[in-house]
Amino acid sequence: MIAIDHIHFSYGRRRTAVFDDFSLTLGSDCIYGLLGKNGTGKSTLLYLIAGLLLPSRGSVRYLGTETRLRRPETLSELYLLPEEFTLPKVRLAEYVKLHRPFYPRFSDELLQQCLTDFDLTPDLHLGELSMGQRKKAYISFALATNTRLLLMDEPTNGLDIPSKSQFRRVVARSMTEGRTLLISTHQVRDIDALLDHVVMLDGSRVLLNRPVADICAALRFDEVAAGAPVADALYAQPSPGGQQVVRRADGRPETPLNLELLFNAMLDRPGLAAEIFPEP
Amino acid sequence: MKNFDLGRFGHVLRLDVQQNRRRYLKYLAICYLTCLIAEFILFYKPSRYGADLVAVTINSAANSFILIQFWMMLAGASTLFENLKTKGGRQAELTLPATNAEKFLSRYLLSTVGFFLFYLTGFVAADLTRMAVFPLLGHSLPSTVPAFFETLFGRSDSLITINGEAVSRALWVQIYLLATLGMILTHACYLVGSALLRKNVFVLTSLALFALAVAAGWVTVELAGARFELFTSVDDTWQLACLNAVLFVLIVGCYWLTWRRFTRIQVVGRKWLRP
Amino acid sequence: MTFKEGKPIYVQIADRICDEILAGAYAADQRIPSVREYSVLVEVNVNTTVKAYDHLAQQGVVYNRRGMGYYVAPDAPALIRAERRQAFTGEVLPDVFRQMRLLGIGADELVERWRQWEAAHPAPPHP
Repeated sequence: MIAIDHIHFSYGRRRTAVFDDFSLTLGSDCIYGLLGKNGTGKSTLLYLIAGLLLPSRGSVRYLGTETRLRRPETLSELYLLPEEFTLPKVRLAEYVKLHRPFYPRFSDELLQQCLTDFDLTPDLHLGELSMGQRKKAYISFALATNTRLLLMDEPTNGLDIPSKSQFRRVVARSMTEGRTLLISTHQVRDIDALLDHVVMLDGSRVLLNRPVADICAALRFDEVAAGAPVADALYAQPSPGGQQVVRRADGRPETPLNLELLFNAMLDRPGLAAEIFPEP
Repeated sequence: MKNFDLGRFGHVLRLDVQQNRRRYLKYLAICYLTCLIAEFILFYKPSRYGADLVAVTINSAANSFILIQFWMMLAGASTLFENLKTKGGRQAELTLPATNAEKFLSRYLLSTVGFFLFYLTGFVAADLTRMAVFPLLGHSLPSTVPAFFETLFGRSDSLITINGEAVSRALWVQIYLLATLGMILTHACYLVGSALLRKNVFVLTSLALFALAVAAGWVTVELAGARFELFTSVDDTWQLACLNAVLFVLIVGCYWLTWRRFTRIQVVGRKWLRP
Repeated sequence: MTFKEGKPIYVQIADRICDEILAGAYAADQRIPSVREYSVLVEVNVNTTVKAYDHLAQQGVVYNRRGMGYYVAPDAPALIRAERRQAFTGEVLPDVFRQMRLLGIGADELVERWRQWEAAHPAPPHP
């Protein structure tokens, strides 16, 4: 669905390139988590996918068409929810009325459902909301456009804890067949139960690009007592209960995915993914 | 895959108008206030005028308003890329599912035709205000509006006798074209300014044009000396036609530059000229 | 729903549904919420819930009617109790016994403490 092919992108000639000979393929019908440290270009990647930034070399294709062309047919099948955005100070109903002609599959029902999940009234005025409420309203609108691809940049940033819970519910409800969601975040704990597939970036490198099912089949994440070094630990970090370790599953029963632990392990040993998952 | 869909264009235009409502109302208010101030300045002297002088006063006032209108159109051209100066504005514009042609035409219409309408509305409103208020101060003069329209659309009359003598039709056409193309080119320069500059578009473009005019004048004087007779004798139709062709090419160039800038804009503005 | 470390999330969801069945939230042959509804409730990916339902179906606790959803099997409570009894005797008890040996607690002390606890916490009447 999304084919990024050997792109090169940099913000200025004097600065180091954000992406150099970078390639990545993403499929459809999937909830992707895009993880990476601050400044590694997660937002840049989202902008490149949406056609808001143009790579100086290589191509970014969505549904077969290069996004740099900014064709309406392509744009009406994707929606970007940026980390920072400004909404006009109008009533939500008016905002919807102005924007829905551009998204042919817009669903009022889904919008109402999301608003209800977020504890927002349908007749709200965007100028009168707090920042968190505005974000939730915008998320509802983005989901209601029913585009095949939805890009979210740090969606849970600025949401209080009950709102994060509401966010998970809303995503679980709205991600129907045929839709792909790409969530870029560093707040992994907010969304790790939602993901189908994990992509980890470190600069221009793809550290990991695997389905959650594969990761959980290959690795286990445990908390063990402190002090005793664990023999087959691939990575260990201290924790309140002792230490958290990543080990090969080796046929043992599955454990829940601990994305934070996995991420730290990947950063510590960039070659780990290649060890665990030999190329198909 | 259509490059221009009328229905979608309508939606883009509607969105542009509604989203920038506040800005447009501000421009309308500026037009109104400017005209109001002009009205008061032009007409504040009580009617010491005899009836025959009234017509002359009205006509010269109309000319002033036409001048202000031209100035307003230039200001309008500087707002062409106004909502693209912020990252949020660019994000919204670039992800909108419409073709570049539709988006560009929409903002172009609002910056040109839109501004023309703002000014007209402001001018008529100011004139009416003046006519309503001044009788309370003891004097009144008829409306400037009819004279305004007459002068605007019947302008050809005033050119025909430019030298106090009749000129040939071909020459008159060239002179008329020169004036029109000159105005369109000036307007187009402000469009380019809006596309290339990040802040203070109107002021900086005006300064740039001023500097350009001074430089051109200096070059003219230095280069040609006494042999440059284009403007001392306007009887060379062919020279004027060449000049008009040059102006036309420049206008096309300006529009092309503006369009190109628009289609290549990215969400992180890397190529703004920072004054 | 906050998920504990240790058991995979889908197993925890399956356990949750079993708890609900034992508590009487769903009667025999009653339809349980759809996969999507349950995903929304516990805030997880739909595929995880599908895994949980499959797991329960494999155990025979629920059965699937094509196009209509998942239903509680008539003998589900008995099945669940049997399964949990198995888990208790097969995993929890050996752990307890190991601890007892480590701490030097004998079987007699265990029985005595059980009697004291029973006296202090009378069982609620059976419905």
